[in-house]
Amino acid sequence: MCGVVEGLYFHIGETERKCFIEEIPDETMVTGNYKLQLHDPRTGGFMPSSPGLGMHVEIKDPDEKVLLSRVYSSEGRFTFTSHTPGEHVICLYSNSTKWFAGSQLRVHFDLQVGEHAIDYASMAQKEKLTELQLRVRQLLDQVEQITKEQNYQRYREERFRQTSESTNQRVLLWSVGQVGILLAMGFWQMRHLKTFFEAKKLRIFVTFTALVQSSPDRVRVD
Amino acid sequence: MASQRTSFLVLQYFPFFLLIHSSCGRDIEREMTVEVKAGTEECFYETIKGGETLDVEYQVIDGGRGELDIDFYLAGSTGEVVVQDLRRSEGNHRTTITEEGDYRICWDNSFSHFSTKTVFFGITIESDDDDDLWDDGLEETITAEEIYEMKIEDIKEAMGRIRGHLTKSRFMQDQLRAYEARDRNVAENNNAKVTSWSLINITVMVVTGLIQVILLRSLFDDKSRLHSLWKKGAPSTFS
Repeated sequence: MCGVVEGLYFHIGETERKCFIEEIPDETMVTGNYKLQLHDPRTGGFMPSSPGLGMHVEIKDPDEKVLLSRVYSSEGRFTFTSHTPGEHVICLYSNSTKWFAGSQLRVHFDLQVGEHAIDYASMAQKEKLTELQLRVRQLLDQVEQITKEQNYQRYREERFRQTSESTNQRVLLWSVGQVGILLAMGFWQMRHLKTFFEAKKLRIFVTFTALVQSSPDRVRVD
Repeated sequence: MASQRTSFLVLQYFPFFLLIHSSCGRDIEREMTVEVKAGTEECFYETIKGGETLDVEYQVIDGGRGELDIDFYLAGSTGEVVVQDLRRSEGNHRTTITEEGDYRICWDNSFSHFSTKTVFFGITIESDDDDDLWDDGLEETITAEEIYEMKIEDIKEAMGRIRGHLTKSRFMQDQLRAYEARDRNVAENNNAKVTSWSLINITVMVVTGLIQVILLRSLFDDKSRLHSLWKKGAPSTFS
């Protein structure tokens, strides 16, 4: 859990936004470590540190409600704990005030979820745990996370099943509705045209439409 | 007796310091989910040392209205492509890195014009020297306190095995979660498609019916505007 900020990195423009999706159960802690570096046009590389820059971190929960929306300095970490299970979106963008694309930024980023987010070294120090106790604690945390994920899996499966059943229902409804609409359309057309042709005194068509509507008393032979 | 107590205490705290040091070992595991918009590519860079093993596995879990596939490539620091996948919906690549440098891992969605793809990926970097929290130098302290230490050693071994199994379980859970997310997204997209196509069908049917009636009326109705068009088309028939 240390020194991993120099690991994964990616490039974004100054005005660009990069978002990550994390599907997590509730009461799960997520920690993000990041470091922002500005492109140095003189050397063609990236400046080792850029104190003037800030990183805007915005985290939305599955109901599109904003959980966290803060500007941090160019290097730092953020933590949040989910309260509803589902897809959380973590967006990063620099707090640059430019209107169009500025220079490139290199963002070192590390996102850890659940039991990976816990800093065991500091926990051991703070709670004065022996090595054995620490290992047991790690196992307990792992098992707890597994249980949470399993519960969440059940909730997701239920949603999935609901969606499938709704689709099934809609397909059936639509097939029946389609037949109904076609029949209704046909009847309306015939009736409308029959009155129209009667008005126009076009015998042949009156006969035809009368036959179709099976009202033989209207058939006239001239 | 006193010596036993002190050496026991030494055993308790000595590995503790090793723990602080070795938890900064290099077994890195990352899992992320990103969206790759249509016509773009998303690249991530990893600094890898020589001798380390890079393991990348990915899955396309949402393809919007399109197919669940994407291009993938792994390029070295000089730009040469190490691994490439074209139009695959999932992939798993394990390469041992010989050259040290910044490796580029990219997912390319440029072949798609409209669909945004959501890719779930996991990157694992294993170093040769397994400097993990769990493999720290506890062996060095076994020399003292034989019987007590043997028992502790058994417990630690059992816990190590449990840890291994639990890590595997977590890994499998994440995999299954990705598969389930993919299937759920497909089901939701199907639902949306059924709804929108049903509405389009209703509209088309009703409009067609109305147009049919209007056209037929215009054939015989002198007052209608279209009647003149029919007349132009077949001048001898009507008058």
